[in-house]
Amino acid sequence: MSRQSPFTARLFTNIGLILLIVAGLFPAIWLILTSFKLDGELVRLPITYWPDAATLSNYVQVFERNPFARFLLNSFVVSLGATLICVLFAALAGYALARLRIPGRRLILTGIVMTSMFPALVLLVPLYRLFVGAEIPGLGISTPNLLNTYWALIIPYVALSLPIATLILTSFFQLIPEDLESAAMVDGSSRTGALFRIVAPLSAPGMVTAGIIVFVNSWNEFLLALTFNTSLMMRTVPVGITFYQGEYAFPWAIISAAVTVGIVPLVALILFFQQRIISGLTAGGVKG
Amino acid sequence: MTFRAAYAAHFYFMAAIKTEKITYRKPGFWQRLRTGNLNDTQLGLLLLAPALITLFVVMLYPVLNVFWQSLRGEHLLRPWLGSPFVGLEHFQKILWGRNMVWDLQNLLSWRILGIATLLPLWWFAARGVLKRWTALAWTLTILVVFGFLLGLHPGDSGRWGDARFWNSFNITLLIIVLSVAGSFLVGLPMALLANITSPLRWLVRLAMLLPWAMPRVFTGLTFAWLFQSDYGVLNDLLARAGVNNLLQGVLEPNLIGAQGILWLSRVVPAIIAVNITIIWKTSSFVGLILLAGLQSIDKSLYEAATVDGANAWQRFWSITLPMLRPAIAVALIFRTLTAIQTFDIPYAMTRGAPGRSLETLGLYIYNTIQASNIGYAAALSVVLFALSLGITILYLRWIYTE
Amino acid sequence: MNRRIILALIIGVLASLVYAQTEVTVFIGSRQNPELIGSLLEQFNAANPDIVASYELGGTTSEVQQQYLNTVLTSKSDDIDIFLIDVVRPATYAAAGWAAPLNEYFESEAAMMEFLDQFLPGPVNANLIDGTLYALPSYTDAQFLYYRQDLLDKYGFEPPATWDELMSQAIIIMQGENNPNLQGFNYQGAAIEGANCTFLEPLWSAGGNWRDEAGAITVDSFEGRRALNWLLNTMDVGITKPNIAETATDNSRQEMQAGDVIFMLNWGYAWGRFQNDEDSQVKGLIGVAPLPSFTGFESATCIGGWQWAINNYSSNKEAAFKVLQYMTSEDVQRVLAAQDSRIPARISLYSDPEVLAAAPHFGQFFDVIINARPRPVTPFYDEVSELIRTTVNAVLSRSISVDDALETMQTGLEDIIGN
Repeated sequence: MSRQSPFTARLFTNIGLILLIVAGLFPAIWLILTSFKLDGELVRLPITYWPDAATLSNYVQVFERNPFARFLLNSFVVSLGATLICVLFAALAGYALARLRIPGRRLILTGIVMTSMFPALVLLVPLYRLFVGAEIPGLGISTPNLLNTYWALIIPYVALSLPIATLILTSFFQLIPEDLESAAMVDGSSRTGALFRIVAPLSAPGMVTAGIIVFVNSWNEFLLALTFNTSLMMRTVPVGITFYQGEYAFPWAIISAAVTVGIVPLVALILFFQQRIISGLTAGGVKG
Repeated sequence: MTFRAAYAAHFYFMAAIKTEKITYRKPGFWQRLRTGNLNDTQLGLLLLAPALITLFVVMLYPVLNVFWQSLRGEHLLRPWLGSPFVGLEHFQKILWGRNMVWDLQNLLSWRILGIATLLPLWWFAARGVLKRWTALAWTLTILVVFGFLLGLHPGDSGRWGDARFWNSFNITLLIIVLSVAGSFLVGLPMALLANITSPLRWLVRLAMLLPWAMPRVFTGLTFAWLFQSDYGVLNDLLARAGVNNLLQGVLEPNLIGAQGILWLSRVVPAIIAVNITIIWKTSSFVGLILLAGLQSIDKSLYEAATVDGANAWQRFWSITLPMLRPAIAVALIFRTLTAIQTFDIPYAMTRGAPGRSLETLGLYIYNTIQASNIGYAAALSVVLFALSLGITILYLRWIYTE
Repeated sequence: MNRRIILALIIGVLASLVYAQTEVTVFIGSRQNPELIGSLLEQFNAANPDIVASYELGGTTSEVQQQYLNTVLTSKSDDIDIFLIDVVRPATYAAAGWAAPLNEYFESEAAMMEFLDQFLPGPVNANLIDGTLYALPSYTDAQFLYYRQDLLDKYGFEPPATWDELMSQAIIIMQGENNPNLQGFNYQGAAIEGANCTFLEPLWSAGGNWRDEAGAITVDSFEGRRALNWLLNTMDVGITKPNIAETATDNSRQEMQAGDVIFMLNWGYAWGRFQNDEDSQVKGLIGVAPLPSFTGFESATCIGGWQWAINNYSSNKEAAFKVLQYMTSEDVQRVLAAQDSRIPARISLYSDPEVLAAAPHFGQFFDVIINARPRPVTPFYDEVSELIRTTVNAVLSRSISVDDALETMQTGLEDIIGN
């Protein structure tokens, strides 16, 4: 596509690339640089860019003061669980909404999206009542107490991310030409067969994107994690990071180190999977 | 409960198999499922069931609870009141002031902003990207919001029902307009650049993912640190580039301190700073969704167009943009929904300061809950919900009509 | 048959074990030294075999902790039996019915008052609402005037007794030092909890208060105007930086610790950081004094600190009160003061040799703390605080005038309290 582009176009593209990279990465780079500084260096004028006396002590403290490795594990389990369930449910629903002639499907889609129109803040108390184990009036049965389990976060995270995931996947299924699918069905494969062999590979970019968005949403959620999982060993990364704050103090150096440790595995994971899944699936699918 | 449900399902399943064996009536539901012969509605409901059941179980009670509470006067610090039914009293207090006047002179900047949003809209309509009646609906909405709602204000002797609500409504609208537009202006080129083959592509993707991966609260805190007027790196960079000296003559002296612009302790710079932060954080979300959209465009379309002699710009307008429309709609809906709920970033950066100038609707709801005024917070949430619903229905119509 | 009997026996033994041991869950913030509290609770458990006390860790700041407790208590949960709450909260907890009244655990009213006399009057007054006791003090805090001893010595100044003195001393030192980064006077202008104190302290030290004895709001007054004008004045003459409206508690501390501030208002924690932090530029150079006042009026400062209260929905209140008694005992407070630098709430500890050996500055702190005043004691503290701090911040960021600010606060407070 870019083979015949004139010089100016390439120039603009490259300037755009560089600007984008600088703007996107600078705050993160600044955060990483800060994580190697001592606290006192942060309020010195004129400000220093490169750490004066680079130190790893902030990173050591991140793991010494709190079980941060455990926080990472918790976040990983919760986010992965929520992502797998959510993308599966959303893919099924998205396919139905995009492809099947169901009466009132626009209403259903609006209904699903509607659940994300309330600030999580006002849903917090009723959700807590639900998860602490309450008796359902009239039925004589109680919901189990799920606090301090992974399910206490996985279930609401699935529910909170379902609207966005469903909407993304609905729009991607709509993009896939219907003829491809009917061609496959005429060939003798069933609808389910068509779904798996034709539609799934073509919608891979959508699935991966939905997955990334659900995963990151769950990884970064703060309010429910703070309230539902209160034992130290069940804390997640965003809540864990706040444990390095003082009552008044905000020790930037250590917190930068904690944020860095919290996002680097996340980003590495996503980059790896994005590359793998997208190249793997689209390569297999589009040709067919 | 789950046990009972599983048992019922099992029983139903067995019964279905048995009846099918004995009589040769129409094949049963389960049989048709196995052979893939369900009609659309049946298959659809089956596929929708997991998602709908999850939402029903988790969200039904909390959402109904919000509506229920919004009609009641529960205030935790006045337990003797209990939870009296107050009807629409909260909404009357929120929405309606006494002795209202409407004058165009007031808040002129809002009107300029309104026109600024109308122009690209009409441009899109003229190019055929938007349907004419959609553009008309949007024009009317923008006129009502910017020309009428924001021009209304209380007269000398009257006052707002809840002046604080209208203040938060205004700043929320401003954030929606600026940050949604901003995140598309940054996000679309981001996605285009991440999609072309270039040795720097992985860096672009990294630059796209990092902002999205950073927890919102810490994004706010990090940017508050960058924008800090004494020790912040932004003012230092501006000073090194010589921009500070330039600004000294242009800006009000009130806005400038020893090291540069007082970003977070003056109203207008603070609004700019918060919007920049939100745009930084959210354009990667837009970028990610648009990138996925770009990846699913059939490459052969471009090849055909190139053969026909279309240049890059024409290919973008005639292929990329129309094919991206569903992805744009999704990103637009969710960017707007999250912009309406904006809370973490202004809270982390300034707690809504200077004064209450950055107290968004979300932050107002947070403060109301902290003050234990449960009923009123619920009513505010219902207003926020109505606003979201209105905008989403407009967007959804746009997706489905074409 | 045999198996059933054994099973029944096991169940019986287990049941009696469960019955005999009452579990008490104590809620503390994550920066309130959980290791130390944990070891103290273990000592308590060893001495009281019938009670098992353990702690649950909340968020870091008072606000995040409150947000969590709001959710738990609104749901009337009994998961937590005791909580450690900020000194501004007991009135709120009393009104909401979240904190259990403690009067009944004392033999008589007189015995209770006698017990309370062992504590500083400030925190006790915050916990005693219309004669009912809702919480017991754990440790206390106050805002102090920190100053650069070396600079004051160099120019031959005594710590300032009035705000005017503070201003003239700061101006002279700033001119003499010729250091462009040196600030004369630093305080908290960001829209955080501390901004209430930033306004209330000059208001009190001008002889005013937020409301009078009869309960009428008196913010829009000569004293209120004087307080806000003084704050603006510090920026106009240049002893305070123009972006004070973005300065939060720890920014002030860091800037003074870097050697850039002559006078600062801040809480007690700053002292330890100045003396002990590796990167401190002001080790041994900092003095502490009571806050200045306007000429002819008394000095006043804000009280801080944390209180132990019992969850009203708890099903183990008796046992919880035992834990409460233990946590407020002299021995435990001595450990907190000596090992965790918590400013004690018990008067006797200010002359305790062990405490003074570990924290010699507590002797100086006492004169300030004995006169510290509570921030507005009202159930609607959250609303009151939000209104005052945002309005003060608006004045300091020069987005509204002093007159408008006073009117906003006056009518706003009347609305909140009158409702």
